[in-house]
Amino acid sequence: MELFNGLKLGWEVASAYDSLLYCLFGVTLGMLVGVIPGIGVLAAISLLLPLTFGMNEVHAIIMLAGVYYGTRYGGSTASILLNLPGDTASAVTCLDGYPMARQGKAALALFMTAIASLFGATFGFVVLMFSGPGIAEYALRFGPAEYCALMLLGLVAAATMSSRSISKGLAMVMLGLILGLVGTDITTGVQRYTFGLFNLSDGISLIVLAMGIFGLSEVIISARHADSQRRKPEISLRSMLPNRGEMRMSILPAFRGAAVGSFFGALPGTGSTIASFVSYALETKVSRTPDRFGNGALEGIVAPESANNAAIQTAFIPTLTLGIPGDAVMALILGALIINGVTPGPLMIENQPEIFWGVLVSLIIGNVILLILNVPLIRVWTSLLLIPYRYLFPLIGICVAIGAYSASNNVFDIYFVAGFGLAGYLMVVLGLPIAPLILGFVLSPLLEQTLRRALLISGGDYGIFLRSPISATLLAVTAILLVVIVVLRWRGSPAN
Amino acid sequence: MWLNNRGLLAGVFFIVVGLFVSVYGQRWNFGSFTRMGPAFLPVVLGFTLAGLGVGVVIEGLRRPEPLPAIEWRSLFFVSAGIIVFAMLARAGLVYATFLAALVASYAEPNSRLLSRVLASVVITGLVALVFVKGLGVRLPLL
Repeated sequence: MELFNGLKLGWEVASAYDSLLYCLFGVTLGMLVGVIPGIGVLAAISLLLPLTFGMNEVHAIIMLAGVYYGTRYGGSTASILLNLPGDTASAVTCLDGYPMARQGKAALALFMTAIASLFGATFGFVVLMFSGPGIAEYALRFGPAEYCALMLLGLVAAATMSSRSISKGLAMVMLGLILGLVGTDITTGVQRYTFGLFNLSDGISLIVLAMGIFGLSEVIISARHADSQRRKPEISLRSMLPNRGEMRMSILPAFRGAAVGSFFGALPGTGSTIASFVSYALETKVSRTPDRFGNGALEGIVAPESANNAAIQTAFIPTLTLGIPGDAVMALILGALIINGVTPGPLMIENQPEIFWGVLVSLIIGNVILLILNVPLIRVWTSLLLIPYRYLFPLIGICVAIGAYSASNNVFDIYFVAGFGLAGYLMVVLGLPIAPLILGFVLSPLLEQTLRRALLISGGDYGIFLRSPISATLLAVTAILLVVIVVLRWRGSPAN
Repeated sequence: MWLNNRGLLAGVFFIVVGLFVSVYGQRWNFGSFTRMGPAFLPVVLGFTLAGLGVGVVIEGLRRPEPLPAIEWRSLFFVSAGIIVFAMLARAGLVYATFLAALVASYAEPNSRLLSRVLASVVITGLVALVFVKGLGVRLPLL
């Protein structure tokens, strides 16, 4: 079968000695860079891009791809240990990973992250193998109205994922959407909510927002009490491994996460960020004990991490076959390919199958490498937690400041991150869920664009959302979700 | 209507922000349904936010939750540290890091000056090594 030929070819390419070497290099570098709070995938890939000039193009992408998920894993490490996401997709891991670390289960969290990532990558690959071209076709049926409806579903899911208050969740989504609008409107060129500040004309940087709201606010909260509140981490080899119960509770979330991730990765324009959020939200809905989320639920990291990696795998479909990158990182990888003389497009699988399949197999190999590398390293990372927080937190603060600066080499961003830190602290004090804000922020430009286009196409007629079967289904699911949650909340409240 | 109500304060915050966004947003072109102007989404979202804010207030009144204790000291010193860093960053990473780390460390009241200074020195060294030498962040060291 053609697919198994592809698999064979990919294996040959990816397991060749030098491919392995580049993969190892990329993964290791990515991981080390990703662990540093505030430095994310984009920074890492931009740093290494020049190295790829003059390299064989297969090796170049293998290395860059390795940097990509290596950085993601490193970012998850920072999220779990320090509540400082390296980039947005890792932000979801903070929600349950950090509480797990506070309970002394950091090693388990880190280990399960690696396993879940490997699982997701493999699942994504299988999906790819069996439906590669089919997915591309299906993805093309998603027009602006469908995307808009999908965004809406994702946002409502994110808003309702906090077990507390839907109004607060939805309000935070709105706030995030509004913050995302700050800056120059692409379509009309109007400067919105910049109040004359030149530094805002490009909008608020996501990294600045996320690091301030998650990381700095955490520093503020913990600076005084961290050592008393934190259980000493268990560092033995055995503590990394999940016990049977934990394994059992992770299987289904891993599958669900991988399915969600494969879906969002394949859609051009959406990627691992929304995949990880939606997957987390899905878990909170599906779980029989939703109150555990946010307090160290293992499913809360297994599902998003699996989704993450599955999304990366399937995101290569639109990137390689349609030339449409799923997110900024894919765009960079695409750029690297083009620089190296490779033309992505529908003919790529036919003309250059070794690149296509080679990259996909190397993703799995890379995740295996990550797993192996990290078994000893997890001990190192968790030992860092043994350092008394009073010495650690100023370092974290400085990292946040530098990370904010390097987003656009702008000192102003450091002031912003301080401001967001304060805002983040305020939100925690008021009991407001932060994750919906981040997702709203990330999706805001896309939501506006797709809404605009949908309305433009339909001539102002909102019926377009209902006429398309995909869009109508998505909207129906959104509505049902909302209704169900509200009803459950109403029924629950007398009991409370 | 005691101010110690989380929901109430949060809701009021949302209402104020939502209204501000909507009202301020009216200076741009709203456009029509066919051609959404730059003000379309902000105004709509702003009003929605304000509406949700009302919901949050109601929730807060029905099920009041008190505010947790606010860490004023932490808030002050950590933010001050970051701001010090921002002010000095261009002048030299070493000065900026050392002073910022020192200031921020005061969020923890129970350390001695010597350990604060030592910690700040170590942090400065680490940062200079990793960020400037290792990663090439574009800031002058000294």
